[in-house]
Amino acid sequence: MRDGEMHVTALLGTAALAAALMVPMVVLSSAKTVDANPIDKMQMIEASLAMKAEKVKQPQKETHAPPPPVKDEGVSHDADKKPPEKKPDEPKEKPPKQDDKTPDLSKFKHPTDDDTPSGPQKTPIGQFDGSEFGNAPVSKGDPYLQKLVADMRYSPPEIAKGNGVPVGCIHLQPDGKIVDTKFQTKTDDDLQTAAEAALRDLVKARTENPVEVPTHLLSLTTQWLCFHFNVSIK
Amino acid sequence: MAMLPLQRLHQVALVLLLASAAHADDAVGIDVTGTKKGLYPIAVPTAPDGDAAVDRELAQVASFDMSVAGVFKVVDPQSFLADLKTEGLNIEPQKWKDVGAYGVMKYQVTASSIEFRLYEVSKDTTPVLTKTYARKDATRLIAHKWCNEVVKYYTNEPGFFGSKIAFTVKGKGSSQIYAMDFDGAGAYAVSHNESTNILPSFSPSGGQIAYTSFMRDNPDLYVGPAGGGRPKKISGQRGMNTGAAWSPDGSKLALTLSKDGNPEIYVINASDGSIVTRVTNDKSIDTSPAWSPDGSQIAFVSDRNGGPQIFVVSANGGAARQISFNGSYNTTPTWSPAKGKHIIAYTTRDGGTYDIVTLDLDTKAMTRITQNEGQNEEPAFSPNGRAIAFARAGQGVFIAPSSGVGKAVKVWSGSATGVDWGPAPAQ
Repeated sequence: MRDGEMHVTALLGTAALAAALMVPMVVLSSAKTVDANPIDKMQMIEASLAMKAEKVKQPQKETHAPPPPVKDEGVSHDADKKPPEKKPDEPKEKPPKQDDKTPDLSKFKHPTDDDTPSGPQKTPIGQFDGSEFGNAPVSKGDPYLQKLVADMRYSPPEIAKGNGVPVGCIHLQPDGKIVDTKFQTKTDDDLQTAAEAALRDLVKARTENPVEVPTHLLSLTTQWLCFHFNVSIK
Repeated sequence: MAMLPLQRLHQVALVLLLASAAHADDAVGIDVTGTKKGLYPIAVPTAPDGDAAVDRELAQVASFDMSVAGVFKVVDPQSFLADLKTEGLNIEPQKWKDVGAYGVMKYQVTASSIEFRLYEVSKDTTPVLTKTYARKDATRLIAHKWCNEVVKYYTNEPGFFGSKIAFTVKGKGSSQIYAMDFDGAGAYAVSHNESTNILPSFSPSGGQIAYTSFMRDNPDLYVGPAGGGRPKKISGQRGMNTGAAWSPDGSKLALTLSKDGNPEIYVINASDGSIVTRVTNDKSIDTSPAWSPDGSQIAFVSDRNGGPQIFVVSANGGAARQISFNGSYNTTPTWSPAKGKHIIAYTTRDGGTYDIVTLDLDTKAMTRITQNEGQNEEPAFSPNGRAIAFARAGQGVFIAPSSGVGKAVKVWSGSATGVDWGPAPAQ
């Protein structure tokens, strides 16, 4: 073959090879543009793998003092040190003596203190009427009598008329039941009505639920126990 | 000590004394001191003879009156032990004491008159009050008159039975002013236009009602006859002319005007609407004026310190002082007419609900009138201050004792607001 023919053949061969390589590329690249990115069509699922992390300790403060250096006992670390001189034995301290005498407290007494009865006692301690609570004839605020008053629920209406003080009495039995009532003073007003209602409530309460009279108040069962119905002024 | 029932009953003292000259012989005396409080038990039995319908109506009206008077509790008729036929107009005191009654109201109806008697059971069989009325008025009015006498006997105050209540009724597209007897009887329309009419206020005489109407588009103030009829425009300032309240002497009206842009409290002449005094002057909103019973002060609502609160100012103007401090929303004050007391009732918001409370300006004591019973607003005191009327949203008009003791009673059903209570009826 001549040189010219060889060049033409080589050119054609190159062209054919180039075509064989380019055509599929062009065809494939055009197919890509027609179909959307397949990743876009995919459903994305995020996933992660849980792994146990190693514990990382924050820096910790020292909570304990470092142990003191241990020194060897009985060993002097100073070669020139002399041993201390021995002192004579000191007498031991004696415990303080108990004062057998009662201290004189009269100097602490306030002039107005009145804790000693002056003159003869009119009401001897231990009398019938609850004196174990004190020297008064009947103790103020004896729980049993307080409960009696509470059970009466004495409370006149706001517009109740009357200024009198009705006095209603009961006869208590030792078992706590009320066997009789009477009005020693009648005021014929609304306060009288309130007092009557109070006694009625008391009798009802003590009939349904009698409370035994305590020993120190038993004397009350042999006489009338009278209530003076007052109204407080606001 | 476990003696606390004593305190609960307000029995404050217990002192024991031996029998002494002052007390009985052979008796131990105990002083019991109680505090006067609580309601007065009164029995209102239905008369057994005569016109059954009239007898029933008298007992019903009288029972209702006494139950809302604020100081009585009506004894349950089911508990009566007395033989009413045998008793007639008289009483057997013990039978009434046994059912807890302190007082007994009796009556007897004849063709021409009704005779009433009031007994205190402590005074045996002698009536403490008697009254006879000719049957020229309606039966219920006669019953109201008698009940007013009973209230006066016990409290020395006029009763409010037979008085009237005005209120706003919300309708479709309009609101009308209504008035009725305090117990809900005989409700009638005071305003007759197809506009919005709100915030009625009775004149001290009870003959007129002032209210705000949009009948000429602007919220103007009108005064009309309490029985209905053509109203007269009293204040037609530009902007709001609302929330009018009559001065105790009836010569002036306090109201909210916004003629200068900002709502302020003014006092105007009731006859011609001319401005007498500008009471407030603040950049905040000032509304809902209410006169004190002596006419010297005006309570009103202002948001000058944040949320709406109640303030009091001299009727001549000047510095206002805040008097409500509970919560962040307090409105619609009204002053109690009770003599010697300085009490204001108002609407308060507690959480999401609106309730009525009273505040004693002297003791600072607050009393709750309503609780856990719907949305309650716009209180108005009865003429003697013993009761409070108010509106409950979507339910109607109610009456409750101003003491806070006892439940509210519905006297009118419907959608009502803006309640005002008229003066005591002439006896």
